[in-house]
Amino acid sequence: MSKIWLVAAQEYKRQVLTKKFFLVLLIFPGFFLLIFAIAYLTNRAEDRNIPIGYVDQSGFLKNPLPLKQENAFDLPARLPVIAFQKEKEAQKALEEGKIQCYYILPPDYPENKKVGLVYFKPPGQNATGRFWNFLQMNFLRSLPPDKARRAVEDFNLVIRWPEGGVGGGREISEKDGLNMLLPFFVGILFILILFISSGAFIGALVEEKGNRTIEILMTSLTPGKLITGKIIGVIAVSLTEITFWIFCLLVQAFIAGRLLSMDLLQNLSLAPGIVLSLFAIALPYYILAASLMTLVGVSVAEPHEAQQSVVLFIFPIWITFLLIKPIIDNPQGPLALVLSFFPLTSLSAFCVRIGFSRVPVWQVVLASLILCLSAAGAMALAGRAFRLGMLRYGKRLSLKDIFPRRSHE
Amino acid sequence: MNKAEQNANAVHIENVSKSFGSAHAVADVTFSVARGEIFGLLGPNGAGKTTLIRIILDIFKPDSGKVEILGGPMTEQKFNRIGYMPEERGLYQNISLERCLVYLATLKGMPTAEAHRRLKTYLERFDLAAHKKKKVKELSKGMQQKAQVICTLIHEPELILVDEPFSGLDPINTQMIKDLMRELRDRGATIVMSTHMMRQVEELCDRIILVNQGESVLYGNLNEIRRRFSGHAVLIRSGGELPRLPGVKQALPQNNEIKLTLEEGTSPQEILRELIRQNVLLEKFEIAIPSLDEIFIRVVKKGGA
Repeated sequence: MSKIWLVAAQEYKRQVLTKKFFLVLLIFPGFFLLIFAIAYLTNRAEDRNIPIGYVDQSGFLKNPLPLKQENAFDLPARLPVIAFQKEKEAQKALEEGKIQCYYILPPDYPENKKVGLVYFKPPGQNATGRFWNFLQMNFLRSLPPDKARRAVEDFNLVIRWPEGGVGGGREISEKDGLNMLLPFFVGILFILILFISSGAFIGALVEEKGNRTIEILMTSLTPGKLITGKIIGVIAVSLTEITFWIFCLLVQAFIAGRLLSMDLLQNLSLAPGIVLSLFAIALPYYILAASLMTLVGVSVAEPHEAQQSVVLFIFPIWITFLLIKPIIDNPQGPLALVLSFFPLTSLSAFCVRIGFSRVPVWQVVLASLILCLSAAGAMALAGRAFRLGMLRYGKRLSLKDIFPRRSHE
Repeated sequence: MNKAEQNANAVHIENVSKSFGSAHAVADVTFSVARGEIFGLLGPNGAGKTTLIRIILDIFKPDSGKVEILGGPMTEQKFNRIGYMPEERGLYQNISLERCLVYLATLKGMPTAEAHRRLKTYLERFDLAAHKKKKVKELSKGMQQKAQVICTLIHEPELILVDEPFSGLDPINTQMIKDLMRELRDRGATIVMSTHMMRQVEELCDRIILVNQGESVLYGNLNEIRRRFSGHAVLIRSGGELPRLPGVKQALPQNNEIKLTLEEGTSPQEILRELIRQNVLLEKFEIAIPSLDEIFIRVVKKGGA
């Protein structure tokens, strides 16, 4: 195996095979789980899992269509709709607690479309919703099933930007409204991971410098290979985290949306084009950031100084988020474009823009190219600083050392 | 390795100088280390020994002068033929001993399976086999030192540079390292040893260089250097009183012996003849050769004065 890959594997294992990493890895899925659980339980708190009844005096539900199962956990047996011939029977069942309520379809129901509801305690939200669906389905039973289904489904507001306009022909519907925020959210995850990894990465460099391991490494492979291996390692760690988090988020959203009927999450998805665009920006951005981290790691003498230096990466991202409103208002405006093409704000700017507008491919390619060039320059600089800085035990490395008038390696 | 490389010195340093800002760390130093010898790199603290080692290893580029390692300039391929043990321990503290040593061995070009195989042998030899799953930081200072030695030797390097190899070792382990160094030399390896322990240098080294304030102040065969500094004296231990001897400037008791400083023009042979002529019962008669410690102190003090 090439020495670069050996270093990358070591850097990866050094960060991944720790309790801290697993804790960080599970914190976010745990957080999502908690949010979904709270939302689900809040929703279900208003439900009562006792059958409901109805008395059809109009004959409208003489041969009713069976009630469809709404989701995997919505077992019909848990909330059956029971037909009673007479109101007296329904009343008796209600008094005995066998049903939570009963509906009465009066003889003039086909004309008036009014139903009566009898209960002791207000029925759960699931009960009313269920009977409403039952009625709707039977009301439309003369239609072909697909038309009936479409008619039963809620209406969906769709917003479409005109082609060539600010939104560039983008379409957002009410049902997949969260998809607009998802790229932004994923972008935040990218940035968050960067901060988490940067601390560990810089800390490791300072440790290697402190315990002289660096001398062994520098007599085993060239500084260029060493840095490249370390950068690949730290990027692999970040990709592991982001992939796991996105996977968990989508699985949890699927469970919450499809199986637990949480409407907002039912259509959650991340378009492959958006994922590709984010990766095209994030990958070179990570290389740039890792090279800058190397510069910081070899320039400082103490681990706490390294931690403080992370603010250098936070500042440009913070600027982007401060300017989020003008960027959203005009995602193709000069401010959005400048921030998208400036290497240190590129990722955060794209994260904001990509969710709210359709970003042209050429902009993604150009930004990625600028980032790649910046990353290559930063890597070369990091290599020089590495050689100079790693052997200066207990001393800081200044810009004057990295760019001397006369070379003193 | 080509024939020119085989014939060349393991290390050749010629007129090498290195400054850091206004401080001259190494000034015009020249020396060679022959293949298959144990070479002592000596000097007081801050003399420039570590800088010289780093120049040899291409960690630092010299400001001027020529450096040849294993028959030519340093290349990446040569890294695999060199073993280096820094003065302060260079091992990862938070991973297991086995993982740390296998990783560093593979960085020296060894296949992982071979690294595991050789590590097993070394761990057993150094009584560390039971500790291989422990984190490096959990090992004692002496154990870490032995681990560092394994890290330096596991890839069977041709050129070995060790900085203070005996620091932190008990007498048993010190003897083990000394035996190992002799064994490596006998197998053809070249060892450059930087140390303050003059007794170990006397026992192990064939040749030495003494640097002081960045300059080379002594260089050559150890025995020749000691003879050069032997002065004009003999050490005598006799069964009885020593008679008055002609040509002796001073007689000083030294432990159970007497050190006779001779006058100019008097040879040790003349003194021996005179002692025999006077029927002195001799238990010991030897030319007083100074210890390396004495030479070191004398040279460094002279240089500092």
